[in-house]
Amino acid sequence: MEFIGYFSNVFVFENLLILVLGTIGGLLMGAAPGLSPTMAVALLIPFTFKMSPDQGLIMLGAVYTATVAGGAISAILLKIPGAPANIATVMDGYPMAKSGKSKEALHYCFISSFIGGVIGIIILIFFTPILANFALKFGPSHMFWIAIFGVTVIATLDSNSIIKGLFSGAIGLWLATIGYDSVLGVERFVFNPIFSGGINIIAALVGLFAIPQVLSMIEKKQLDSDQFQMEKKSIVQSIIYNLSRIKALVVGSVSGVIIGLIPGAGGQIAGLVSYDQIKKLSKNKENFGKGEPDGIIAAESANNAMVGPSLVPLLTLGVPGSPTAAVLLGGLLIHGMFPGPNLFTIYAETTWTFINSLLVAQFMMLAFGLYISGLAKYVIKTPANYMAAAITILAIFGTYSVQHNFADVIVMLFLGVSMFFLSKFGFTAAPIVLGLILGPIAETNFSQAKIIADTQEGIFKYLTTGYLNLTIITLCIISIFYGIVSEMKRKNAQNK
Amino acid sequence: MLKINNLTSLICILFISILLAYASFTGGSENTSEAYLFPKLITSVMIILSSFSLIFYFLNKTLSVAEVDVKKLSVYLISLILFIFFGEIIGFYFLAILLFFINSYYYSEDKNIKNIIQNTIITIIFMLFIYFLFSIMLKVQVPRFFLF
Repeated sequence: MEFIGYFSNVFVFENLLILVLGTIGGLLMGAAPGLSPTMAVALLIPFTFKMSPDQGLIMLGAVYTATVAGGAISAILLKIPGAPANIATVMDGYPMAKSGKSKEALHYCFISSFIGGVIGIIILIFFTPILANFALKFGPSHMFWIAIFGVTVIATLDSNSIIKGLFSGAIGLWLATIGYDSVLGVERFVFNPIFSGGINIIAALVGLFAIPQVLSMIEKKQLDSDQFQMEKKSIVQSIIYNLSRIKALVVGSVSGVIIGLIPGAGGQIAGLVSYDQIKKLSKNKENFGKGEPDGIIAAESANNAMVGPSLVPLLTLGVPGSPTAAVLLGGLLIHGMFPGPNLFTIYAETTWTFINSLLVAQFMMLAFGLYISGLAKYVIKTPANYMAAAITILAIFGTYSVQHNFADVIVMLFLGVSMFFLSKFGFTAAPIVLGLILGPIAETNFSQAKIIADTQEGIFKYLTTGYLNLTIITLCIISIFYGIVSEMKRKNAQNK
Repeated sequence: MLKINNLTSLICILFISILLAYASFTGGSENTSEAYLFPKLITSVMIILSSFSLIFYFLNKTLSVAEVDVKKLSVYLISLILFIFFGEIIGFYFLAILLFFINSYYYSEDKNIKNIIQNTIITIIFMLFIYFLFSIMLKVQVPRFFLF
């Protein structure tokens, strides 16, 4: 209960002001396509250098929390996930917005983000030492299978055809191999110097989601104000409904906590795995993808529940649980704080103030998020011609700002236009993006596993033995099998 | 209107898979072949999946045709091509102003003087917001041409 003693530090005027600014800024940055939580935290680190360690970490923590939730705003309203963590939110969020329930969808998003977030922080506070030991059990072979599981899950979820979904995931995994091999340092598939650094994930994310959306908007005039009406929904009604969806909240929060603990996994896997699980457990499976609130509730509670636990391996072992946590490690180091037991002894005041501020940030995210939901009508009523032009400019500037590289803009536009043509044949963007995100995790761990296995009994045996490996492989098979059965059922229904 | 049937798309996908597999299996020297192990694995899976797609197509024989309204999209696509070729030379802000104004005007339903004035005002306000967000707040140095 040591953390209670440091709660008053959060409520000092300057700290509270930083928390408010960080939350509002984080929500806005999260909503802008291209400005991911990782990028937002990375951009702010130089500014926190001049602040005290307490204030700097409060700012970074608030931005981290708010950007993860804020990414759902553009996911729901524009079908463009603000960050990879919000990919699963698009699947039911956008159909809800399309049917006039954008405000309701945003309410569910922020309420479930809040619930998931609070659970995640409580886990961070109380279970840090115990959970750190569990995370240590994951070796290269397990991480390789986790990455493959992530691809199979999205391939079965976001595509009408399991083969096309898996093929899209494989394209993403292959695209991730462009550039330098992380283990051997060999340059591969660099047909043009612009690819020497590989394909930037943010450029791919923005291009694959934003540009096809703009092109179809122009082609169909999709966002005309007449088609996109908005129903009135009170916050109280949304809270009551949200709290009644206990199954979705539990599935989302538990998935988020477990995945947050696995080093390198991140919010995108948390959101997708929880969406997959709630879809399988739901009685209304056929409603998923058409605007089912449980899909948003599970995905958003998962990606925010992941925030707290992703800091557990970071604070205790120095191993970041998510890409954003990896950037946050930089924030700790510039203030001379090294992860490990010292954080809870020598730097206990700063560490507990930071963790407590994350809890308070959840309340602020909820309040400001619900307020922003009321302003969604202005986005919805924007005519398609302005929306298309604005998204394109934001996508170009957002992509360029990641690493000040014009090649990223070219890659973003090329991938975007290609995706538009691929989408005409039933291919979807999410498996490609996830393959690109998980590709380096899968390949690095595969290479490490091979190096270990070469000294033992070979790679095949190394990857397929042990209860953790077998559990994850079984999950992959179930995921593919589920996709095949769902596709067959869908085709039979269509034939009838 | 550009029309592409699903058989053409499946053949293209198989062709791309074979091309990527060729690049993966022939890439690298004897010393660096280990670095190509993962791409070889992935492209093999891609060939299997795209072959399955073709087999299922011939089993079901459900021909579908996708239509792309290239004429309607042409102004937007040309804007993107111009940005790719001249973005670094002419500057982001100048080209972004042109892209925003031309596209929002071309794709609007009413094309009259009132619409031109409205578009001009919205373009200025939006680009000021972009300038504030990226150049002032985030200190992003984008390629510029003279003042823009």
